Amino acid sequence: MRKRLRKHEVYELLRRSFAGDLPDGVEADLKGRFDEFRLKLRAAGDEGKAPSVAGTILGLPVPALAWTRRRIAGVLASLALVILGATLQFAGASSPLADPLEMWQMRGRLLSAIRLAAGMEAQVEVRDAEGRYVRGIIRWNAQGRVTMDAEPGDASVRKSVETVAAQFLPATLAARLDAAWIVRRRGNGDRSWTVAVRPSDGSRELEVTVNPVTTFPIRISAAGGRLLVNFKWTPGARQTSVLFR
Amino acid sequence: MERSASGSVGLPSECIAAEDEIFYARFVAPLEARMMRTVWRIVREQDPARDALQEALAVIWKRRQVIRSHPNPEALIIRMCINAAYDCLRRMRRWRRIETAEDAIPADHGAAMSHGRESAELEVRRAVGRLPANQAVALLLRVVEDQPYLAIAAALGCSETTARIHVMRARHRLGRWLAHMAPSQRRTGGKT
Repeated sequence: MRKRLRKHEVYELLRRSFAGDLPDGVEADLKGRFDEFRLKLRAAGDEGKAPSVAGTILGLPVPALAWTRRRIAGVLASLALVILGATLQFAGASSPLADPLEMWQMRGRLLSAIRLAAGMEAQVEVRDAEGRYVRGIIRWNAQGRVTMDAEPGDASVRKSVETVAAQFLPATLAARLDAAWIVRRRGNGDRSWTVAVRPSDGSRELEVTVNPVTTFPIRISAAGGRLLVNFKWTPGARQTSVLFR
Repeated sequence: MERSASGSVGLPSECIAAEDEIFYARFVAPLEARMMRTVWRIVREQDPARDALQEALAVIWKRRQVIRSHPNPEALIIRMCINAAYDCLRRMRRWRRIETAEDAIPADHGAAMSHGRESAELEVRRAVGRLPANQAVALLLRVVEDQPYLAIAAALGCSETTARIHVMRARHRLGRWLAHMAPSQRRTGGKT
Protein backbone atom coordinates (compact mmCIF):
# COMPACT_ATOMS: atom_id res chain seq x y z
CA MET A 1 0.00 0.00 0.00
CA ARG A 2 1.32 3.41 -0.94
CA LYS A 3 2.14 5.81 1.81
CA ARG A 4 0.88 8.92 0.08
CA LEU A 5 -0.80 10.22 -3.03
CA ARG A 6 1.08 12.10 -5.67
CA LYS A 7 0.52 15.83 -6.19
CA HIS A 8 -1.63 15.45 -9.30
CA GLU A 9 -3.67 12.69 -7.63
CA VAL A 10 -4.46 14.91 -4.68
CA TYR A 11 -5.46 17.75 -6.98
CA GLU A 12 -7.60 15.42 -9.07
CA LEU A 13 -9.39 14.14 -5.98
CA LEU A 14 -9.91 17.67 -4.73
CA ARG A 15 -11.19 18.98 -8.05
CA ARG A 16 -13.58 16.06 -8.34
CA SER A 17 -14.80 16.51 -4.77
CA PHE A 18 -15.24 20.26 -5.00
CA ALA A 19 -16.62 20.39 -8.52
CA GLY A 20 -20.18 20.81 -9.60
CA ASP A 21 -22.62 23.64 -10.06
CA LEU A 22 -25.39 24.79 -7.83
CA PRO A 23 -28.69 22.96 -8.11
CA ASP A 24 -31.49 25.32 -9.14
CA GLY A 25 -33.36 25.17 -5.86
CA VAL A 26 -30.26 25.89 -3.85
CA GLU A 27 -29.28 28.77 -6.10
CA ALA A 28 -32.64 30.46 -5.63
CA ASP A 29 -32.41 29.90 -1.89
CA LEU A 30 -28.95 31.40 -1.62
CA LYS A 31 -29.93 34.34 -3.82
CA GLY A 32 -32.79 34.96 -1.45
CA ARG A 33 -30.20 35.12 1.32
CA PHE A 34 -28.42 37.95 -0.51
CA ASP A 35 -31.66 39.89 -0.88
CA GLU A 36 -32.47 39.39 2.77
CA PHE A 37 -29.00 40.59 3.68
CA ARG A 38 -29.48 43.78 1.69
CA LEU A 39 -32.77 44.44 3.44
CA LYS A 40 -31.22 43.91 6.86
CA LEU A 41 -28.39 46.13 5.87
CA ARG A 42 -30.72 49.00 5.08
CA ALA A 43 -32.59 48.47 8.34
CA ALA A 44 -29.33 48.43 10.27
CA GLY A 45 -28.29 51.66 8.58
CA ASP A 46 -31.47 53.35 9.70
CA GLU A 47 -31.47 51.98 13.23
CA GLY A 48 -27.90 51.76 14.37
CA LYS A 49 -26.28 54.82 12.93
CA ALA A 50 -26.10 57.87 15.14
CA PRO A 51 -26.95 60.64 12.70
CA SER A 52 -30.47 60.44 11.47
CA VAL A 53 -31.96 63.92 11.79
CA ALA A 54 -29.86 67.03 12.06
CA GLY A 55 -30.99 69.67 14.54
CA THR A 56 -30.01 71.78 17.51
CA ILE A 57 -30.15 71.35 21.26
CA LEU A 58 -29.80 74.52 23.38
CA GLY A 59 -28.80 76.36 20.27
CA LEU A 60 -25.90 74.03 19.52
CA PRO A 61 -25.87 72.07 16.28
CA VAL A 62 -26.33 68.37 16.92
CA PRO A 63 -26.02 66.11 13.92
CA ALA A 64 -27.54 63.13 15.68
CA LEU A 65 -30.61 64.57 17.25
CA ALA A 66 -32.59 61.36 17.55
CA TRP A 67 -29.55 59.53 18.87
CA THR A 68 -28.90 62.27 21.42
CA ARG A 69 -32.53 62.30 22.46
CA ARG A 70 -32.45 58.57 23.10
CA ARG A 71 -29.36 58.94 25.27
CA ILE A 72 -30.83 61.88 27.20
CA ALA A 73 -33.96 59.80 27.80
CA GLY A 74 -31.76 56.99 29.11
CA VAL A 75 -29.91 59.31 31.51
CA LEU A 76 -33.16 60.83 32.77
CA ALA A 77 -34.63 57.38 33.34
CA SER A 78 -31.52 56.38 35.33
CA LEU A 79 -31.76 59.50 37.47
CA ALA A 80 -35.45 58.87 38.07
CA LEU A 81 -34.66 55.36 39.25
CA VAL A 82 -31.99 56.66 41.64
CA ILE A 83 -34.40 59.24 43.07
CA LEU A 84 -37.11 56.62 43.40
CA GLY A 85 -34.71 54.28 45.19
CA ALA A 86 -33.65 57.00 47.64
CA THR A 87 -37.27 57.93 48.30
CA LEU A 88 -38.18 54.35 49.01
CA GLN A 89 -35.18 54.04 51.28
CA PHE A 90 -36.27 57.00 53.40
CA ALA A 91 -39.86 55.90 53.32
CA GLY A 92 -38.79 52.48 54.56
CA ALA A 93 -37.13 54.03 57.63
CA SER A 94 -40.50 55.13 59.00
CA SER A 95 -42.45 52.10 57.95
CA PRO A 96 -43.56 49.39 60.39
CA LEU A 97 -41.04 47.08 58.80
CA ALA A 98 -38.21 49.34 59.88
CA ASP A 99 -38.59 48.64 63.58
CA PRO A 100 -37.73 44.96 63.55
CA LEU A 101 -34.88 45.85 61.24
CA GLU A 102 -33.59 48.44 63.62
CA MET A 103 -33.83 46.00 66.49
CA TRP A 104 -32.03 43.40 64.47
CA GLN A 105 -29.18 45.82 63.82
CA MET A 106 -29.07 46.75 67.45
CA ARG A 107 -28.89 43.13 68.35
CA GLY A 108 -25.79 42.59 66.27
CA ARG A 109 -24.06 45.63 67.65
CA LEU A 110 -25.11 45.00 71.16
CA LEU A 111 -23.69 41.52 70.96
CA SER A 112 -20.23 42.89 70.29
CA ALA A 113 -20.55 45.45 73.02
CA ILE A 114 -21.64 42.85 75.51
CA ARG A 115 -18.79 40.57 74.68
CA LEU A 116 -16.34 43.36 75.18
CA ALA A 117 -17.84 44.63 78.33
CA ALA A 118 -18.66 41.32 79.89
CA GLY A 119 -18.68 41.54 83.63
CA MET A 120 -19.06 45.28 83.65
CA GLU A 121 -21.68 47.79 82.85
CA ALA A 122 -22.34 49.48 79.60
CA GLN A 123 -24.04 52.66 78.63
CA VAL A 124 -26.20 51.97 75.66
CA GLU A 125 -28.41 54.01 73.49
CA VAL A 126 -31.09 52.19 71.56
CA ARG A 127 -33.87 53.30 69.33
CA ASP A 128 -37.37 52.35 70.30
CA ALA A 129 -40.28 51.43 68.08
CA GLU A 130 -41.36 55.03 67.77
CA GLY A 131 -37.98 56.20 66.64
CA ARG A 132 -36.94 57.76 69.95
CA TYR A 133 -33.52 57.17 71.36
CA VAL A 134 -33.45 55.69 74.82
CA ARG A 135 -30.29 55.88 76.85
CA GLY A 136 -29.57 53.45 79.56
CA ILE A 137 -27.10 51.26 81.41
CA ILE A 138 -26.81 47.51 81.14
CA ARG A 139 -25.49 45.68 84.12
CA TRP A 140 -24.45 42.11 84.66
CA ASN A 141 -24.42 40.52 88.00
CA ALA A 142 -22.36 37.59 89.17
CA GLN A 143 -25.08 35.16 88.25
CA GLY A 144 -25.03 36.34 84.68
CA ARG A 145 -28.33 38.13 84.90
CA VAL A 146 -28.72 41.14 82.66
CA THR A 147 -30.65 44.17 83.72
CA MET A 148 -31.06 47.49 82.09
CA ASP A 149 -31.81 50.83 83.62
CA ALA A 150 -33.22 52.98 80.94
CA GLU A 151 -34.28 56.58 80.76
CA PRO A 152 -37.07 57.39 80.37
CA GLY A 153 -37.59 53.76 81.22
CA ASP A 154 -39.42 52.38 78.26
CA ALA A 155 -40.34 48.91 79.42
CA SER A 156 -40.52 47.31 76.01
CA VAL A 157 -37.10 48.57 74.97
CA ARG A 158 -35.61 47.53 78.26
CA LYS A 159 -37.05 44.09 77.95
CA SER A 160 -35.79 43.71 74.39
CA VAL A 161 -32.27 44.74 75.31
CA GLU A 162 -32.22 42.46 78.30
CA THR A 163 -33.44 39.54 76.25
CA VAL A 164 -30.92 40.08 73.53
CA ALA A 165 -28.07 40.58 75.97
CA ALA A 166 -28.93 37.57 78.08
CA GLN A 167 -29.11 35.38 75.04
CA PHE A 168 -25.53 36.02 74.08
CA LEU A 169 -23.83 36.60 77.38
CA PRO A 170 -21.97 33.65 78.84
CA ALA A 171 -22.86 33.57 82.52
CA THR A 172 -19.53 32.24 83.67
CA LEU A 173 -17.70 34.97 81.85
CA ALA A 174 -19.84 37.62 83.42
CA ALA A 175 -19.11 36.26 86.85
CA ARG A 176 -15.39 36.32 86.44
CA LEU A 177 -14.80 39.53 84.56
CA ASP A 178 -15.71 41.97 87.27
CA ALA A 179 -12.99 44.29 86.10
CA ALA A 180 -10.83 44.28 83.06
CA TRP A 181 -8.16 46.13 81.18
CA ILE A 182 -7.50 46.17 77.57
CA VAL A 183 -3.99 44.85 77.37
CA ARG A 184 -3.32 44.95 73.68
CA ARG A 185 -4.90 45.59 70.42
CA ARG A 186 -3.80 44.48 67.06
CA GLY A 187 -4.82 45.56 63.60
CA ASN A 188 -5.02 42.81 61.02
CA GLY A 189 -4.87 43.04 57.29
CA ASP A 190 -8.63 43.00 57.04
CA ARG A 191 -8.84 46.05 59.31
CA SER A 192 -10.26 44.01 62.16
CA TRP A 193 -9.15 44.63 65.73
CA THR A 194 -8.27 42.05 68.24
CA VAL A 195 -8.83 43.37 71.72
CA ALA A 196 -7.60 41.41 74.66
CA VAL A 197 -9.43 41.98 77.91
CA ARG A 198 -7.90 40.68 81.11
CA PRO A 199 -9.78 40.57 84.36
CA SER A 200 -8.30 42.15 87.46
CA ASP A 201 -7.60 38.85 89.12
CA GLY A 202 -5.57 37.73 86.09
CA SER A 203 -7.41 34.47 85.86
CA ARG A 204 -7.98 34.51 82.14
CA GLU A 205 -7.71 36.64 79.12
CA LEU A 206 -10.46 37.20 76.65
CA GLU A 207 -9.76 38.07 73.07
CA VAL A 208 -12.44 39.76 71.07
CA THR A 209 -12.15 40.46 67.39
CA VAL A 210 -14.12 43.38 66.09
CA ASN A 211 -14.25 44.15 62.43
CA PRO A 212 -15.06 47.84 62.06
CA VAL A 213 -16.17 47.31 58.49
CA THR A 214 -18.73 44.65 59.14
CA THR A 215 -19.75 45.66 62.63
CA PHE A 216 -19.13 49.28 63.53
CA PRO A 217 -16.30 51.73 64.02
CA ILE A 218 -14.50 51.38 67.30
CA ARG A 219 -12.32 53.87 69.09
CA ILE A 220 -10.32 53.03 72.17
CA SER A 221 -8.81 55.65 74.40
CA ALA A 222 -7.59 56.07 77.96
CA ALA A 223 -9.08 58.65 80.31
CA GLY A 224 -8.41 59.09 84.01
CA GLY A 225 -7.24 55.55 84.61
CA ARG A 226 -10.15 54.11 82.72
CA LEU A 227 -10.30 52.77 79.23
CA LEU A 228 -13.14 53.93 77.08
CA VAL A 229 -14.39 51.96 74.16
CA ASN A 230 -16.64 53.99 71.95
CA PHE A 231 -18.88 52.33 69.46
CA LYS A 232 -20.65 54.14 66.75
CA TRP A 233 -23.96 52.56 66.21
CA THR A 234 -24.89 54.08 62.96
CA PRO A 235 -23.29 56.40 60.46
CA GLY A 236 -24.94 59.22 62.41
CA ALA A 237 -23.62 60.84 65.55
CA ARG A 238 -25.17 58.33 67.95
CA GLN A 239 -22.69 56.35 69.92
CA THR A 240 -22.43 54.09 72.87
CA SER A 241 -19.74 54.13 75.46
CA VAL A 242 -18.74 51.06 77.35
CA LEU A 243 -16.84 51.93 80.46
CA PHE A 244 -14.15 49.62 81.69
CA ARG A 245 -13.64 50.21 85.33
CA MET B 1 -12.00 60.62 -1.18
CA GLU B 2 -14.29 57.87 -0.05
CA ARG B 3 -15.79 58.33 3.36
CA SER B 4 -16.38 55.50 5.77
CA ALA B 5 -19.86 54.60 6.87
CA SER B 6 -18.95 54.12 10.50
CA GLY B 7 -16.95 57.29 10.70
CA SER B 8 -19.35 59.43 8.77
CA VAL B 9 -20.87 61.39 11.64
CA GLY B 10 -22.76 64.26 10.18
CA LEU B 11 -23.90 62.48 7.05
CA PRO B 12 -27.63 62.11 6.70
CA SER B 13 -29.01 58.59 6.60
CA GLU B 14 -29.67 58.79 2.87
CA CYS B 15 -25.95 59.31 2.27
CA ILE B 16 -25.07 56.35 4.46
CA ALA B 17 -27.60 54.16 2.75
CA ALA B 18 -26.24 55.27 -0.60
CA GLU B 19 -22.71 54.59 0.57
CA ASP B 20 -23.67 51.09 1.68
CA GLU B 21 -25.40 50.48 -1.60
CA ILE B 22 -22.30 51.58 -3.47
CA PHE B 23 -20.16 49.23 -1.43
CA TYR B 24 -22.53 46.37 -2.07
CA ALA B 25 -22.83 47.10 -5.77
CA ARG B 26 -19.09 47.51 -6.18
CA PHE B 27 -17.70 44.66 -4.12
CA VAL B 28 -20.36 42.09 -3.32
CA ALA B 29 -22.82 42.08 -6.20
CA PRO B 30 -20.30 41.09 -8.90
CA LEU B 31 -19.21 38.14 -6.75
CA GLU B 32 -22.63 36.85 -5.75
CA ALA B 33 -22.63 33.88 -8.12
CA ARG B 34 -19.06 33.00 -7.31
CA MET B 35 -19.67 33.24 -3.58
CA MET B 36 -22.67 30.94 -3.82
CA ARG B 37 -20.77 28.45 -5.93
CA THR B 38 -17.76 28.46 -3.63
CA VAL B 39 -19.81 27.89 -0.53
CA TRP B 40 -21.87 25.20 -2.19
CA ARG B 41 -18.89 23.28 -3.52
CA ILE B 42 -17.40 23.02 -0.05
CA VAL B 43 -20.50 22.42 2.01
CA ARG B 44 -22.77 20.51 -0.40
CA GLU B 45 -25.84 20.73 1.80
CA GLN B 46 -28.53 23.34 1.46
CA ASP B 47 -29.12 24.46 5.03
CA PRO B 48 -25.47 24.57 6.08
CA ALA B 49 -24.66 26.38 2.81
CA ARG B 50 -27.26 29.00 3.65
CA ASP B 51 -25.82 29.42 7.13
CA ALA B 52 -22.28 29.63 5.81
CA LEU B 53 -23.24 32.25 3.25
CA GLN B 54 -24.97 34.31 5.89
CA GLU B 55 -21.95 34.15 8.15
CA ALA B 56 -19.73 35.16 5.27
CA LEU B 57 -21.96 38.13 4.47
CA ALA B 58 -21.92 39.24 8.10
CA VAL B 59 -18.13 39.07 8.20
CA ILE B 60 -17.89 40.94 4.91
CA TRP B 61 -20.08 43.67 6.30
CA LYS B 62 -18.16 43.96 9.53
CA ARG B 63 -14.87 44.20 7.66
CA ARG B 64 -16.02 46.40 4.81
CA GLN B 65 -13.41 49.02 5.63
CA VAL B 66 -10.68 46.43 5.22
CA ILE B 67 -12.21 45.21 1.98
CA ARG B 68 -12.35 48.74 0.58
CA SER B 69 -8.67 49.30 1.12
CA HIS B 70 -7.51 45.78 0.31
CA PRO B 71 -5.24 45.29 -2.71
CA ASN B 72 -7.29 42.27 -3.82
CA PRO B 73 -10.82 42.61 -2.45
CA GLU B 74 -12.16 39.79 -4.60
CA ALA B 75 -9.74 37.26 -3.17
CA LEU B 76 -10.43 38.53 0.32
CA ILE B 77 -14.19 38.14 -0.08
CA ILE B 78 -13.78 34.65 -1.52
CA ARG B 79 -11.49 33.81 1.34
CA MET B 80 -14.17 34.94 3.81
CA CYS B 81 -16.65 32.68 2.04
CA ILE B 82 -14.23 29.77 2.14
CA ASN B 83 -13.53 30.44 5.81
CA ALA B 84 -17.23 30.40 6.63
CA ALA B 85 -17.78 27.25 4.56
CA TYR B 86 -14.76 25.60 6.16
CA ASP B 87 -16.05 26.44 9.65
CA CYS B 88 -19.38 24.98 8.61
CA LEU B 89 -17.64 21.84 7.32
CA ARG B 90 -15.89 21.39 10.66
CA ARG B 91 -19.11 21.93 12.56
CA MET B 92 -20.88 19.36 10.42
CA ARG B 93 -18.06 16.90 11.08
CA ARG B 94 -18.41 17.45 14.82
CA TRP B 95 -22.17 17.03 14.72
CA ARG B 96 -21.93 13.81 12.78
CA ARG B 97 -19.29 12.48 15.14
CA ILE B 98 -21.60 13.17 18.05
CA GLU B 99 -24.66 11.73 16.32
CA THR B 100 -23.05 8.52 15.13
CA ALA B 101 -19.84 7.37 16.68
CA GLU B 102 -19.02 5.14 13.73
CA ASP B 103 -18.93 8.16 11.44
CA ALA B 104 -15.99 9.60 13.31
CA ILE B 105 -12.77 9.84 11.31
CA PRO B 106 -10.06 7.94 13.16
CA ALA B 107 -7.19 9.95 14.55
CA ASP B 108 -4.47 7.78 12.94
CA HIS B 109 -4.38 9.90 9.81
CA GLY B 110 -6.62 7.88 7.64
CA ALA B 111 -4.93 4.51 8.02
CA ALA B 112 -8.20 2.94 8.96
CA MET B 113 -10.42 5.52 7.34
CA SER B 114 -13.72 3.90 6.69
CA HIS B 115 -15.13 3.88 3.20
CA GLY B 116 -17.81 1.96 1.46
CA ARG B 117 -20.80 3.73 2.95
CA GLU B 118 -19.50 7.17 2.31
CA SER B 119 -18.58 8.42 -1.08
CA ALA B 120 -15.00 9.32 -1.89
CA GLU B 121 -15.95 12.96 -2.33
CA LEU B 122 -17.43 13.15 1.11
CA GLU B 123 -14.31 11.59 2.52
CA VAL B 124 -12.12 14.15 0.78
CA ARG B 125 -14.23 17.01 2.06
CA ARG B 126 -14.03 15.67 5.57
CA ALA B 127 -10.28 15.34 5.27
CA VAL B 128 -10.10 18.98 4.18
CA GLY B 129 -12.18 19.83 7.23
CA ARG B 130 -9.46 18.32 9.40
CA LEU B 131 -6.74 20.55 7.99
CA PRO B 132 -5.60 23.64 9.91
CA ALA B 133 -7.60 26.67 8.83
CA ASN B 134 -4.87 28.52 6.94
CA GLN B 135 -3.85 25.42 5.02
CA ALA B 136 -7.43 24.50 4.16
CA VAL B 137 -8.28 28.00 2.97
CA ALA B 138 -5.09 28.31 0.93
CA LEU B 139 -5.64 24.91 -0.67
CA LEU B 140 -9.27 25.60 -1.49
CA LEU B 141 -8.44 28.99 -2.95
CA ARG B 142 -5.82 27.30 -5.10
CA VAL B 143 -7.73 24.20 -6.16
CA VAL B 144 -11.38 25.20 -6.11
CA GLU B 145 -11.04 28.83 -7.12
CA ASP B 146 -7.88 28.54 -9.26
CA GLN B 147 -6.44 31.63 -7.63
CA PRO B 148 -2.78 32.49 -8.26
CA TYR B 149 -0.46 32.33 -5.28
CA LEU B 150 -0.14 36.10 -5.24
CA ALA B 151 -3.89 36.48 -4.76
CA ILE B 152 -3.91 33.73 -2.11
CA ALA B 153 -1.14 35.55 -0.26
CA ALA B 154 -3.07 38.81 -0.43
CA ALA B 155 -6.22 37.12 0.83
CA LEU B 156 -4.42 35.41 3.70
CA GLY B 157 -2.34 38.45 4.54
CA CYS B 158 0.95 36.62 4.20
CA SER B 159 3.80 36.41 1.73
CA GLU B 160 3.59 34.44 -1.46
CA THR B 161 6.14 31.95 -0.13
CA THR B 162 4.05 31.34 2.96
CA ALA B 163 0.98 30.79 0.81
CA ARG B 164 2.88 28.21 -1.23
CA ILE B 165 4.02 26.48 1.95
CA HIS B 166 0.43 26.37 3.26
CA VAL B 167 -0.76 24.74 0.04
CA MET B 168 2.14 22.31 -0.02
CA ARG B 169 1.65 21.21 3.58
CA ALA B 170 -2.08 20.78 3.04
CA ARG B 171 -1.39 18.72 -0.06
CA HIS B 172 1.11 16.52 1.77
CA ARG B 173 -1.27 15.91 4.62
CA LEU B 174 -4.14 15.06 2.31
CA GLY B 175 -1.80 12.80 0.32
CA ARG B 176 -1.03 10.86 3.49
CA TRP B 177 -4.57 10.76 4.82
CA LEU B 178 -6.09 9.75 1.48
CA ALA B 179 -3.37 7.31 0.45
CA HIS B 180 -5.84 4.46 0.49
CA MET B 181 -7.71 6.21 -2.30
CA ALA B 182 -4.84 5.92 -4.79
CA PRO B 183 -6.12 4.74 -8.20
CA SER B 184 -4.57 1.26 -7.96
CA GLN B 185 -5.80 0.84 -4.39
CA ARG B 186 -9.27 1.88 -5.37
CA ARG B 187 -9.35 -0.67 -8.17
CA THR B 188 -8.23 -3.52 -5.94
CA GLY B 189 -10.40 -2.26 -3.12
CA GLY B 190 -13.42 -2.34 -5.39
CA LYS B 191 -12.91 -5.97 -6.26
CA THR B 192 -12.38 -7.24 -2.75
